[in-house]
Amino acid sequence: MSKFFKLSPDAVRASLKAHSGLGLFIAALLYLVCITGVISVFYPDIERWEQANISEPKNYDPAIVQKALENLLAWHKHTNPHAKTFEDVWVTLPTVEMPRFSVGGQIPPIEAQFFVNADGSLGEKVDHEWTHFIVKLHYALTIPGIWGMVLVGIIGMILVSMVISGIAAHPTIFKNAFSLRVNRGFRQQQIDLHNRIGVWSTPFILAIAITGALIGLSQILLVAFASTFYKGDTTAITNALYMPHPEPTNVAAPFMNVAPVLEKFSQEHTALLPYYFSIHFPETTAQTLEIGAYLPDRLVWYEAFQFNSQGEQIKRLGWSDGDVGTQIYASTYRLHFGHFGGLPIKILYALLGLGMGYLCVTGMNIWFRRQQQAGNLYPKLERSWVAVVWGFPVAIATSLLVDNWWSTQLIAVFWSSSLIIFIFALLIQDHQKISIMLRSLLAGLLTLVLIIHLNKFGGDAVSGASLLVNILLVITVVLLGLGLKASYSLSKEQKNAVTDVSPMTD
Amino acid sequence: MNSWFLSTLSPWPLLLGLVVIIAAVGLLYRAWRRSQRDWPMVSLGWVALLLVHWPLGLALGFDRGWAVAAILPGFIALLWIAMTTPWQHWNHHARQKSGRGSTPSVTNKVALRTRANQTGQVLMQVLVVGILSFATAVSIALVLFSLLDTSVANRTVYSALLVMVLWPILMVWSKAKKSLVKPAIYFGGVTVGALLFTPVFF
Repeated sequence: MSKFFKLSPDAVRASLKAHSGLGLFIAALLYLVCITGVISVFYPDIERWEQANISEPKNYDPAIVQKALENLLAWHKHTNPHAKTFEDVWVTLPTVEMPRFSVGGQIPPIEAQFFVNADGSLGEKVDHEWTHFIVKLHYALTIPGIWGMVLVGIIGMILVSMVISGIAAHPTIFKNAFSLRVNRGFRQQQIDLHNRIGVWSTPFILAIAITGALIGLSQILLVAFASTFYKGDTTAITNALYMPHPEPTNVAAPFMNVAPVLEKFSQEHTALLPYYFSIHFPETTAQTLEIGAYLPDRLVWYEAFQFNSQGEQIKRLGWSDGDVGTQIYASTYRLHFGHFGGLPIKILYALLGLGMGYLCVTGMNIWFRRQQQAGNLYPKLERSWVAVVWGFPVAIATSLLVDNWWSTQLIAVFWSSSLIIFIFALLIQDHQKISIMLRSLLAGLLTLVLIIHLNKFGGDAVSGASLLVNILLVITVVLLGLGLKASYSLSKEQKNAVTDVSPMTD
Repeated sequence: MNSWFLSTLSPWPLLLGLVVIIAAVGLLYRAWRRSQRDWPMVSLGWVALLLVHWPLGLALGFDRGWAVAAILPGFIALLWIAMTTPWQHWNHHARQKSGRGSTPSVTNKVALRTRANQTGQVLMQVLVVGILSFATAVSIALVLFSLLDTSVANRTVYSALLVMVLWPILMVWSKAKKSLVKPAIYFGGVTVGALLFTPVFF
């Protein structure tokens, strides 16, 4: 049976070549996408952590929702007297996962979002800049336009290629599925860790990579399909997958009353969990209400309903019970972000995501050792890789710290910190020293973030989602501390034992 | 609604699913420990991991249950490996030995001409392994789009999924080749041939 599936030695060698070649090509960016992905799994919790002092209602009163919207429109008229009325206004309703109640509106370039007080008055401004930054870093590497998403989509596709070539390159990978020889040499340890994590995480990696690539490359594929079959009219396809946007009329009308629509909706759809609604072109004859509701027991992202200004339902998105293709597409988001089973699934995704990051690290370590044994030294590249592994987390932690005072420049802070760390890594000769310094810096920055958060929010910092995020921060700092302690004692031991061997140089 | 899972779930099928996964991983582990390949045990382990989709589908709903059934066994197997590995035998000196003790005496410096060649090769690989293979995958997906007799949403998603599977396979195939000439010819030929089935040229 095993002979039936056996690849020739040439095919195995070729697969290994493809595996390492593709891996080298994207290692640093893939690693960045992995670690930001792990953080992004917790983005609803981090949004709550960022503004830990906001009250968290368990439910909402439709009359208060109406009042809050009217207050928002009045605020806009008062604050921006010369601007046009909002093109869209929206409300996020409190749910178990995100028990926050907010209203917002936009008319380019103005965009504003406020939390709502219990009486319907506008509260604090919504400020989730860091969470938005980290999610954007994950899905687009902060590159503007569609190109960042396309690049991340390509990384997803290369990741699928690496899974295929990885399995083909290791004919005994399933036979040795439990083999972890920790008492062997460094390269063997790294190979075993790489292969064990790789083979058992395969379904997870494929799910993440394919859904990520589908999201990232959707725009390119949409243009390809539309150009070929619909003379470039992309709406011919998007209207089949999304709710079409209503057309503006620019004719003034009284603002619609959403309260009776919300009440009726909740009575008629008891299995659905409304979490969001928006009104397109408010205060005009074109105003249309769109309600988005979670289906708690499904993988599809949500179901949406459109109502006219008289409160009559005019459209239904059909993501939950439409065509199979629509349902598959609608399921990609939750499957990608791990938002389909509460905290246990988030933790599972975070741990397996860290495993993916570790696959990048061990993969590069194996390549460096193999090159070293072949007589090729890449000390600068090796130090650059250390700057990637520990430098990106340090840059992320720096942006988190800076967010307390300067939240508008997080992209610049992140990339400039990464560049400084990279240059610093090239200047220092000992890569072990760089690793220890960066890990110490990371632990210090995270501790500082934790202290500032506790100081800023007091009791709110140790309840609800803030408690979860702060516990995760404490665990990270403790693990970093333990790792540093082990590294210190090992380097001390090495200094005592190997005094006659000169270190690697450029 | 369970506030931990943010949904309704059936606890008994969930528990059954977890027990089956642990038992299956245990069986595979036992089979691996034996010196002789124990095919019945290995088969039983993998079949159990396939069957676990049923109780987890009942516990969490069809789509979510299947997603968990695909991902969770790997995590449990990794936990199993972590728990059965004698970490106290970890060779701390391994890095020191391989990292310094085996430092080669000659450092290979890369010549400027070689570096230019390498850059050229990388650009060729981006062109053939990356762009041409993508063009081929998309052109085959366009053929599927034109052949499918179903809704626009289905045609779009199925064709896009074909790209998601086909492009990585083509990348691996072309990257594994010693020369990029043959993949480039194949990709060019298949792309043009496939596009003849679509309204691109007509």
